[in-house]
Amino acid sequence: MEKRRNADGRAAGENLSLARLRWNRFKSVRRAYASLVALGVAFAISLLGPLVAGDKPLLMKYEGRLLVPVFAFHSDAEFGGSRASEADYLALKARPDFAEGGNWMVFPIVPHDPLRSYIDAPEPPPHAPSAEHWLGTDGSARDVLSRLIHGFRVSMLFALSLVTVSALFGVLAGGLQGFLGGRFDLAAQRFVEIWSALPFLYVVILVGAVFGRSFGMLLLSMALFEWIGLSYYMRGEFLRLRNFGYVRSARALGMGRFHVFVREILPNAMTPVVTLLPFNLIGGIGSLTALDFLGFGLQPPTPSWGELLAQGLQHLYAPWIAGSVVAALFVTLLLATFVGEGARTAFDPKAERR
Amino acid sequence: MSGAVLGISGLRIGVKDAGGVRELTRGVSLEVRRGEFFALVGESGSGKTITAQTALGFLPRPGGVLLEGDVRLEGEPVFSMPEERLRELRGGRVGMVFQEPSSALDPLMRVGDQMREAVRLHGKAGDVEKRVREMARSVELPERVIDAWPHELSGGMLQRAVVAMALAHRPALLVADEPTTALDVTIQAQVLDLLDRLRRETGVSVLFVTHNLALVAQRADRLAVMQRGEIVEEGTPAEFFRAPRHPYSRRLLAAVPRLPEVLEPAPEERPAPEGPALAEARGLRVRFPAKFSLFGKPKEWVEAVRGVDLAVRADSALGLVGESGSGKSTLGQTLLGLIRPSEGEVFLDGRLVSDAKGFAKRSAEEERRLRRAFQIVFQDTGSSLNPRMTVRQILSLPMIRHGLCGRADAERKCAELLDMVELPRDSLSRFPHAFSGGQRQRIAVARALSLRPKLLVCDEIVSALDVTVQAQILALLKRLRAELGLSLLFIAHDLAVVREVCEEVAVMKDGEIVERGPCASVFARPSEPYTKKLLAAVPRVGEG
Repeated sequence: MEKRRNADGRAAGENLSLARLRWNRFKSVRRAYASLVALGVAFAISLLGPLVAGDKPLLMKYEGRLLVPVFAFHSDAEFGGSRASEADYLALKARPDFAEGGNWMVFPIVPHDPLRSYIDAPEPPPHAPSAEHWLGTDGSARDVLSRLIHGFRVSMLFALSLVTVSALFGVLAGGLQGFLGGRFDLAAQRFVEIWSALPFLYVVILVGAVFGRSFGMLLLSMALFEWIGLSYYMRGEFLRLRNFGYVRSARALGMGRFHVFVREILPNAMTPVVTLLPFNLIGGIGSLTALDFLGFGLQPPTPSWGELLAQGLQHLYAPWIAGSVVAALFVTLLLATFVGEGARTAFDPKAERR
Repeated sequence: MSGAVLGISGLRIGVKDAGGVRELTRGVSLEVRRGEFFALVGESGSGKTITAQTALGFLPRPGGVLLEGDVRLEGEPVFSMPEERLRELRGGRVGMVFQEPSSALDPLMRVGDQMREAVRLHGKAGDVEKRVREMARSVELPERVIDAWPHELSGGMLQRAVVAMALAHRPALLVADEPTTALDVTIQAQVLDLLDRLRRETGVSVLFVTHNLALVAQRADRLAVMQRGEIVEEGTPAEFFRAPRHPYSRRLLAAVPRLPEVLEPAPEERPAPEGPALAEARGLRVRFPAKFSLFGKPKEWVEAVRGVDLAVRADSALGLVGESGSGKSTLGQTLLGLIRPSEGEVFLDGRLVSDAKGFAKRSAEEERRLRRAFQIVFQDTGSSLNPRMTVRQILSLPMIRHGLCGRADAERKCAELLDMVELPRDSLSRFPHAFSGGQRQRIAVARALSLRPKLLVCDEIVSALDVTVQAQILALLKRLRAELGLSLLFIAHDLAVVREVCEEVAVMKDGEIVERGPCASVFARPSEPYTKKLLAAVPRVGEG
């Protein structure tokens, strides 16, 4: 049956690429688009790191000189102190002689470093929210908001890298399986099945114990398992698509294998990668938080949501810790889910056929 | 008793979409009288299915709205019926048969159980077993079918079972929506005969929806031609074929490929080609594993091609006909070296390409030359073009690969190709989804011809297209043949189409070639009973 697609002559916009059509369809899901923008903006802000939350001034004037301490190192001695280590600008600002000399400094919006402990406060930590610490401090007297912002950056970077690495590997592995088929597929599939039966958590703990718990190591050990899910989809897509008319035509036209893989099949097989991406991102954030919570994640004192969550549990009488991190997690995951929903709509084959 | 069973007047149906309401039928009126075989003919998208389904009170989904008009079943307005009354109507007073019999039945239920369900559906059960057996008998199904699973039956048998179920409650009207389109020609004829006989015996009216004018030419009492949501012509087939009034009807009629009643040798008949064989198969057998043992070793085989000798010579067009499953597609692809033979040898240009040991070793250069000279176009217009590429990329990449043009003159070459297949030049920057099936098939043909092949294998390239589009593609092929000196292997199940473009024909049945020779003599004096059967089953446009 001939499709009715342009029987009634569609107007302008007809000649958009598939990717463009899908993007337009994604944008038409208002909630998803708004969520994507919100997530993007939040991530961009967190990427600014110490420019948003840190205890070094963005700009300061000291004895007639303009300084940018955020980017440049200035020792305590430069400001009339005795130590050769980096100056403590918060303490400097509080010094009575500082303001008198016509000196000033501009701090980031959240003027606290995520690692700085305010142990000299009169009461023991954690401190309740105040004008100074908007979301209070944690058990080690560190500013919760600052740790949240830096933790968000770490989480997102980790999850994004995880998704990217595992997508690359999953696409390659699943794609090759489906593309080559036959014995290679059979052997690889058995390997994948055995591999996926390994207890993921123990391997991560083990790798962490042997090689240390760095960002890269953790990423690697999680990526070792994360690619499997995607490779199943890719294998299926490749198996399906390799019998499509245009793939068979390309072969009959004498196009090379590389061309068939990269140009003919791959772009059409990316649907599961893109639609699953937001959900994999959620999974990545969740896994990292869980590992940090259990203490098998990133090395302390790296600011992390899982570690904050664990503190929240220890200090249940300080609800601002658990409350703020749970709220942050909730909002992030919700937004990512909305984005995922939109992606699913955008790639809906039913919408494509209309 | 006469009078209208179904009366549709001024029907306007639209669908709501982003841009408001789009009208699908624009004031359709028709009347199906008691005991009448009424054919509704039109191309896909003409609104014929939508019109027919209103007889059951269905509107297109999603977003279908009745804008205006009235549908009456035996005088009763359908669209003002309460829900229960509608349910009584569906399957009770109106039976429905769809196009695809294999999806009309539940694969997890025995055929008999589904027939029983159909009988019980509307209460008045009586002796269900007796009724089911009666139904099976009436559609000429053996009783063993009652205990069979749907997958054990052929398409024709399934469609009979569906017809039996549709007639379970002796409806006043049977709506048959392209019920034979998915079937082979010989089976098509059987199902049509069955419908005809049942109509005479039970007095049911038949509303037969089809795109195939020839199919209903001899059977319909009256027919109506639909185009873009309107009925453009209505009348008896005799009137219609003698003097179609509407230009669209004339075009439709002219596009039907036909076999002359008395087959005289066509005047332009050339002597059997004697040139060198471009592609040749010797003792070809192709098997596919059907069942595997516990250890993955093939246990049973399906033999698609069983011992075929065939040669396509330079400057000739060979038609390969046969019903689905006869192995003709497999043969075509094996001949191009795309499928490995299990036995026998394949030669292209006199060189061994593949035999039972596999594909012959070739240098990359040889491989490329071979691929260039032998091209294939597939049936499925929906997937023959990569949806991610523009027409420019689709056409230019193979040429660049084969060094037929550089990046610089690709644009000009592509434009020339588009001219050749009569598509506008601004198609270049468009994506495949912007084209209709016929246009996509043109692009696929242009792509195959861009490499200036010696032989083009056309694998059912027109069978999915409407007749007028089909005629355009066939004319295009004939013209290109004359212009480019191209050889064709034309695979089809439609004999009339083959006659349009080929001088020679080979008839395939169950993996073997049962008859071959010049078209004229094979069609005029078929020697094999199978060929005779195929010929007899071709629907003809009646002459009066």
